[in-house]
Amino acid sequence: MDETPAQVPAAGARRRLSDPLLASALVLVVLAAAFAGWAGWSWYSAAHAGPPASAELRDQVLQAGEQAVQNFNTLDYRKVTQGLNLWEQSSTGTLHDEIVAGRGQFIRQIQQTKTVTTARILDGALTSLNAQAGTASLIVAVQITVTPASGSPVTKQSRLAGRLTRVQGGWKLSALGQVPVGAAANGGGTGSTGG
Amino acid sequence: MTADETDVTADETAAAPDEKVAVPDETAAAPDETVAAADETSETVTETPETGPAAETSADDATDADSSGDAAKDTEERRGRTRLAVILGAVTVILAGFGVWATLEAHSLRATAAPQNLALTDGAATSAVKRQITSAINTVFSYNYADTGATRRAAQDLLTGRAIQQYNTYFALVTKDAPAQKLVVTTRVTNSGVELLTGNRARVLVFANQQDTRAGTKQTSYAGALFAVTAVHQGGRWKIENIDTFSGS
Repeated sequence: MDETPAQVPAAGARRRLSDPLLASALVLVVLAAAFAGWAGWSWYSAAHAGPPASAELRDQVLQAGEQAVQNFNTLDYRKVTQGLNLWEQSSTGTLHDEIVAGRGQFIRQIQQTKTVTTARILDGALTSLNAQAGTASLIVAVQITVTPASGSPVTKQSRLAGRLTRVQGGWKLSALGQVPVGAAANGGGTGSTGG
Repeated sequence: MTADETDVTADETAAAPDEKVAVPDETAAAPDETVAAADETSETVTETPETGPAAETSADDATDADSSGDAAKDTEERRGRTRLAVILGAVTVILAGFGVWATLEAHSLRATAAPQNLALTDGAATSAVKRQITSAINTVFSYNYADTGATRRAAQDLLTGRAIQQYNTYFALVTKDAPAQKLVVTTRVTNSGVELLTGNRARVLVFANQQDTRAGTKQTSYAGALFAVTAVHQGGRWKIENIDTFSGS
C-alpha cells in the first residue's frame, strides 16, 4: 500500500489514454473548445466592428461641412451680430478674412433690408478628401427661404460648392459659392445668403 | 452504509473473537459489496486509526482483499474513467452550445449592421460611379428636335426601375414640344459627389447645366439643375434607377 501511490497514477494515466471512450471524449472536448473559441472571437469582432477610420472621417467632415453651409445661409436682421459671429466661427482662411473685412457694411445692409434668411440642407456630398493635407471639397444642395420685412417669403433651391480646411477647432469652410449657371459662369462669390 | 457495516463488523470482531472467522467468510461471500464500496472502505481505514484492534482488522482485510484488489482497482478506475468521460461530455456540450450561440449571434449582428459605405474610401469605385452617371445624365438629357428618338434609344440602356417611368413622362413632353420649338438641348454635369456607395447601389448628388438653343430663332438660354441620382450596378455598368429633384421638399 505504501509503494502503490507512486505507481497507480502513472498506470492509470496510461490506461486512461488507451480507453477509447475517454480518448474520443478528449478529442471532442478539444474540438468543441476550438469551435467555441473561434465562435467567440467571431461574435466579439462582429459586435465591435466599426466603420474604418477613413469612412468615419468622411462622414465627420461632410457633417461639419453641411453644418457650416447651413450657418452661412442663416441670418436674422434682429440678431445680425450673433449670425455673423457664427459665420466667423464656421470659416477659416480667405473666407474668414472676407467676412471680418466686410462685417460693418454687411450689418448696415441687412438691417436696412430687414430680411430673415433660413436654410435647409437638401443633400450634400464630399467631392474630395485629403486626410493628410487636411483639405476637402464638397457640394451641397440647399433650400433657402428669405422672408422680407413685408411680403411673403421666397424659397429657392441653391447649388453650392465649397472647400473645407482642417484647423484646430475642426473642419471649417475656406471657400463657399454658388455653382454658376451656363456660359455666364465665372468665379462664384463667397458667403451666399440667398440675396 | 457499507462502510458503517464494516465499522460495526470490525468492532464486533474486536469484542467477540469467536465471530472473527465468520466475518472474512462474509466478506468473501460478498466481494461485490466490498468492491462497490471500495472508496468508502479505504476512507474508513484511515479515519479510524485510534481504535487499535479495528485498525489491525482493517489491515487484515486489506491483505485479504489483495487477491481481488487488482480487479477492484480496475473497476474503480473504469468508474473513474466513465465519470471523467461524462464530465468531458458535459463540457463538450457546453462549449459547443456556446459556439453555436456565438456563431448565430455574430451572424445576426453582421446581417443587421449597416452596409459599408465606400464613397471616397474606395477611390476607383467612386470614380467609376461618378464617370458613368455623369455620362448617363449627359446622354439622356441632351437631345435634338430633329431626332429625339436617338436620345430615347440611348436612354434604354442607361435607365432601370422607377427611372424608366420618370423618363417616359419627361420625354413625352420633349417629343411633343421640341420639334415645334426646334429645340436643341445640351446637358453637362458640372459637379457630382458620391454620397453613398454600397455594393451595387449608389447615391450621387448632381449639379448640371442645360443649354437650350432654339434653332429657329438662334436664341440660347441656360439653366441649372440639381438632383440626386440613385444608381444600381447592373449588367456591368451603373444605371440610373431614380432621380430625386427635391421637389417634394
